[in-house]
Amino acid sequence: MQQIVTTGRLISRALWNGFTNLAPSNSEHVNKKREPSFLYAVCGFPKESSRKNPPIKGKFGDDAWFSAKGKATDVLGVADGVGGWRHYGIDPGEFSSFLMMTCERLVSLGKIKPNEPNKLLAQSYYELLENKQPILGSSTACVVVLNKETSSIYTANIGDSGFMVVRGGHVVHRSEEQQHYFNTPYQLSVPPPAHSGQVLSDSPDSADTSDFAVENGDVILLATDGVFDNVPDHLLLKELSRVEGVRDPTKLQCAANTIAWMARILAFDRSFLSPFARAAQANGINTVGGKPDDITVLLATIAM
Amino acid sequence: MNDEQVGFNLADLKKLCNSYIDYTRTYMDQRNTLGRIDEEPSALDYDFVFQFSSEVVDFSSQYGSDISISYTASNLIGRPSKFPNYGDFPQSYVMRSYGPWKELAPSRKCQIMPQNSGIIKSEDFIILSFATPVVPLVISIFETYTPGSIVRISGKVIDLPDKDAWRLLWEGLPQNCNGLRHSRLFAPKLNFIKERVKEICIEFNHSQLDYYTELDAVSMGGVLNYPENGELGILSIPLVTHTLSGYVYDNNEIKDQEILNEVRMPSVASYMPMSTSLDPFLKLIKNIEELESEWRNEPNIDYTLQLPNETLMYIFSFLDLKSLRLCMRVCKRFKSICSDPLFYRELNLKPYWSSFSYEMLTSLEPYCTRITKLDLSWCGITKGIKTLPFNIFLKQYGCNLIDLRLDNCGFVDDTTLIILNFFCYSIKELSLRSCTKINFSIVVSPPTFLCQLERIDFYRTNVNILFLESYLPLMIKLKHINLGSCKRIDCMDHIAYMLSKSNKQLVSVDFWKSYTLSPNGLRFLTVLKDLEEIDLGWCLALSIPGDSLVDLVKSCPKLKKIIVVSLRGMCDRDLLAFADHCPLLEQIDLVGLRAITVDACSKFLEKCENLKLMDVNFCENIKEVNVQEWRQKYPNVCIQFTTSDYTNVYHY
Repeated sequence: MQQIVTTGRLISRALWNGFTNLAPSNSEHVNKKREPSFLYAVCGFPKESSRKNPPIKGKFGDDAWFSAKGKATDVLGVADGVGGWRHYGIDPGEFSSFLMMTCERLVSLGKIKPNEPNKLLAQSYYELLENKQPILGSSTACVVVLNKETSSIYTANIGDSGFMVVRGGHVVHRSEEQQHYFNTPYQLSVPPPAHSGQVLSDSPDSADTSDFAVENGDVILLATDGVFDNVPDHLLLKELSRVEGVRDPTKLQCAANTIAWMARILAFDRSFLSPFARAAQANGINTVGGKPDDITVLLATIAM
Repeated sequence: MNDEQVGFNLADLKKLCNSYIDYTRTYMDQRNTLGRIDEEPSALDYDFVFQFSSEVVDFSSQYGSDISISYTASNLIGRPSKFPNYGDFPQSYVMRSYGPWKELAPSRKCQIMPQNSGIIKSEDFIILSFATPVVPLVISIFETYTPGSIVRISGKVIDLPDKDAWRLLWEGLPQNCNGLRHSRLFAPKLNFIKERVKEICIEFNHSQLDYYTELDAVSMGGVLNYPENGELGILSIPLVTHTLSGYVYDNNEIKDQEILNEVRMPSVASYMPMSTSLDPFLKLIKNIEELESEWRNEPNIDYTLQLPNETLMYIFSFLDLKSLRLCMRVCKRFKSICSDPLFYRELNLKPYWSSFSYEMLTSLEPYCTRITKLDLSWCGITKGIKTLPFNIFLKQYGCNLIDLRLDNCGFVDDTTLIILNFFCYSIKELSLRSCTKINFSIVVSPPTFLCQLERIDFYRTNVNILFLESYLPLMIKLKHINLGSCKRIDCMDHIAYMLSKSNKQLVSVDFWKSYTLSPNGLRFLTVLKDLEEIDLGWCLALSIPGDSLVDLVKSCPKLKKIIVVSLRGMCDRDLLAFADHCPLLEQIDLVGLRAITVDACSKFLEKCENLKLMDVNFCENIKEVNVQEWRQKYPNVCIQFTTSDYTNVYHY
């Protein structure tokens, strides 16, 4: 029973989050020039939901996300703060959330060319160093930029967050996971000065980039490893194919909720052979069950 | 503007103003509840347009660097991102100075013709552009940290030549609002003009501030057209229920009123004339010829005949340029006295930037024969002069120049440097701040000028290594150099090496935001025994300084001001070395240093007896309690520290 009460709270929170975010994106899609744009919904759960911390927009635990509009661009992004910093007394969520907030500002200030998503990540990372308040920590990040003029998408990805594009029931594009070794993704980091050199720190230039054309109705899932580590691809694909071409924000929100919910349940399922457990077994670690983690789902469809 | 000019329906006006205030309030309330609103500011009655600035045209200084978006001018574009939160945010526009500290530093510049600046001196400016030109009725400035430095707002009327276009909209003394611990929506009562304005210039004076001022956004409200039937007349009633310092938006308004009443005003507050600095300067000059013919017919009734010329000259030497001009119109004798080139040895035209033109300069030419100091800062804004005429002026009158300031002068380019090279051989101080047009390509001629040079300011210019390499060795007398935010210098270590080789008598050196200065470069500077001021703020390559800072202070015992903002790896050892080796230290900026501990700071404060300013904001180990204690123990030291627990309820 306890379980149900909490989940009810989580769902309503997720819906609240989703609706406040949908409201803007919903009203703007009366396009004259038939330019594509993102129609998106967000849902997510922090790993440990505490009653003390009220939900903050753009954050689910250590995960952070943003959406922004530039001159001829729509941009979505997720970042996953590396939790290990908690041992050093550093809030891992701060790093990822600042990274995403800065991306949002960079896009809305028009400082970024649509075909350079890696520059967006890099610039945002360097802004961390320009802050008077030292923000320490590290984070994986993935941004998806829609160039409205050319109807194409440019992506940059560092680490194990990622995206997935579904068209006609098939995955047509997806990001590649970047790992140093098992469960240690590439990451952007600003270590405390005393620890530099001992900490994994990947240059923003090491981001994996890709670009491809999109069509009306394409579905894009942008999510942190909390989703990809727990939900097998075929389940994701099934859910994503259902919302192809969907423009009804409620339906889109429902699908996003479903995926996030699925990830949440599977993460706490101790007997389920999750993608994470499979990878662990491939690396010689004998384990089953999901991987409890912060979960962020950004679900977008292309509307022309 | 007098009361007879009021042809305006007061009820309508009040409605208009109320709708504006309501709009702003609803806007803020919506922000607070919904998180964000998305529809563009709507047109209210009377084609009223409410808009946020859309572009930054020009500015004099910024805390951040050009390649970044933290603490830079571009943050003023668009709607507020942090308001009404109060605090030190990277999302706002911050300038480079505050309070009296710049004037107390070893690198201070002497003022040229200080009487010319009037009572309300401006130190910084920013010009913002808006999407739709309107007849401005309300301009509101969203101040998110230490408000009170805005002293002047002027608007540029569209469809007029630049030099005639600027109109004074508001002017007031700088305020000290340091009792005010929350953000402020500053919307002063504007002078009414009938023309439409697209660009506005905001001028600042930081002298009363306790810390850097931060601005989040600027909005302009106004009507699209001045109605032809004149229904919308002259505004001489207050636009908003004004407090002393303008309209303040806050939930707890009554409390604010009280605080505002306590706002400390400078002592001149009782006498607050509206200066006429934006009046067309030229009008005064043109009439002189006409007047001369009149004088011939007038009988001479000059009571000042009793006074000898020398006395009159002494009296006149306190006059500003405009008053001198007015005196010229009094009588022949005054004219001949006021025409003495002695009065024009030092010229400061910066206060007249808004109406500056080539004609203004030529009108002064007859008296400029002995000119030694010239301040043309900001005079490039109006584009009133081209490069060539200015170069010719320099060529003709530059031989005696010892001090030339050309901040933000768009008309200065490489050819001007060539002229300087050939004809201004006695120049000692040269300021080229924010002159972005100069490329500093290597001058073909052998460098001859600059050998007398004592001070050069390259802040935010395109100066490059090649240029410095060929000129620095000649500047054997150089005492002050500012290389802050010079983004074209790709190896500052090399410049540090050059300085250590040829400019050993340097007193102050500014490396603000030099990302390429490393500990190796810093070690070269240890030969500068006379160094009194060093600015290493945001030199990110120095963030793990090793022993270089200790080496530097060991060999530079005269240091009075050290800025080490954000050198994250600086530790207690470095700080204590400062205390041990620099007994004269007066100002130190330690913002954002994580590793500095309370113990080290206590020892530091104890040892540095001359310390006047210590900035420990964003130092994680230092707590409010410690600072309170220090403030009591060392009342002569200004300790900058703000706890980060601002009542920031509005999270966007």
